[in-house]
Amino acid sequence: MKSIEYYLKGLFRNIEQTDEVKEQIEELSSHIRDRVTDLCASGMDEMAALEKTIADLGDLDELVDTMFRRKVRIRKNRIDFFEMLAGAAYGAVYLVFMTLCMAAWYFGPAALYLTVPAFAGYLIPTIFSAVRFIRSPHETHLVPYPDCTNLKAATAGWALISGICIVANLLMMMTEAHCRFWSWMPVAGVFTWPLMNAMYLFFAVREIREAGADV
Amino acid sequence: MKDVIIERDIIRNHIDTIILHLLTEQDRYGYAVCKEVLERTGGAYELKEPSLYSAFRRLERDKLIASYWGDESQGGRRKYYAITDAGKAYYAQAMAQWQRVQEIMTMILGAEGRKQV
Repeated sequence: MKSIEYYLKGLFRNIEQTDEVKEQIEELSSHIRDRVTDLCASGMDEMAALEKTIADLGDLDELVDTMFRRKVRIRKNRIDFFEMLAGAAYGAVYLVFMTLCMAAWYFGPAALYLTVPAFAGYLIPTIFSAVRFIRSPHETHLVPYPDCTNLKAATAGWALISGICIVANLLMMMTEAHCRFWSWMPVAGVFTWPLMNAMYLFFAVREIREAGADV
Repeated sequence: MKDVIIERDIIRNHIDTIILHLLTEQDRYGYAVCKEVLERTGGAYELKEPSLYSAFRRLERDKLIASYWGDESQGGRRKYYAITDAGKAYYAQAMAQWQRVQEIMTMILGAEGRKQV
């Protein structure tokens, strides 16, 4: 029965051996021991019983990951779709304003040559995610526990790009009399990036709260 | 295969209700919960250990259940789980919800949806 403990210790090797972890190892080892004892009682030999028990335990890495909130199982197809849909809705509004602005300032109706392909950039990934969602709406994926890291990075990236554009725009306005305030366009466009990250976080956290999602 | 996965998912959504129900009857340890589910379903549904123990961790974190170590003298100790007052309230809610869902499905699907067991 020593082999059970070695197996479990191996499984939890990458985790700090806190009291919680030690207790979980002890709990699982008595679980395995009980199961092996039962299987042996029904006539299986000990080695086979142990092998069967460990095989039936399935993906314990998942347990380790979910227990310590490193990973979580969520309906990613669903979340991706809603995230993309929110992005596309934002993109549509943004591009309508951009079309009006570009048409009035520079190109007339030819502004559509720019903004329609730009909208395709929103629409095509949304269609792909819709297809995935419709095909398997309940498919779950094990993903890193959602946190603000990506959102923070995206927001910082957006702020940086926006800052550069606005400064460049202001410099141009100082030197050229007819220069327009065009920088709102990249600022609003790149905003899609943190927005999508925020949407993902929102939908993922909501699902975890609602379903108590785990393995 | 796909059908089996969906079926498992549907049941898994009720894992809290299943665990809390078994704990309202008596305090149990993990293996006992697994065994009980297997026996009651005649082997039709097997509660997998990762699902069970992550549900335990979550329910414990939400203070719906509490755990204590048994005093087994031989072999390893077993960790028992007991339902708390908050857990009982949550369980009553979940049970009412489940009954309501069943009722609604039966109203819609009628006799066809009611498989004779």
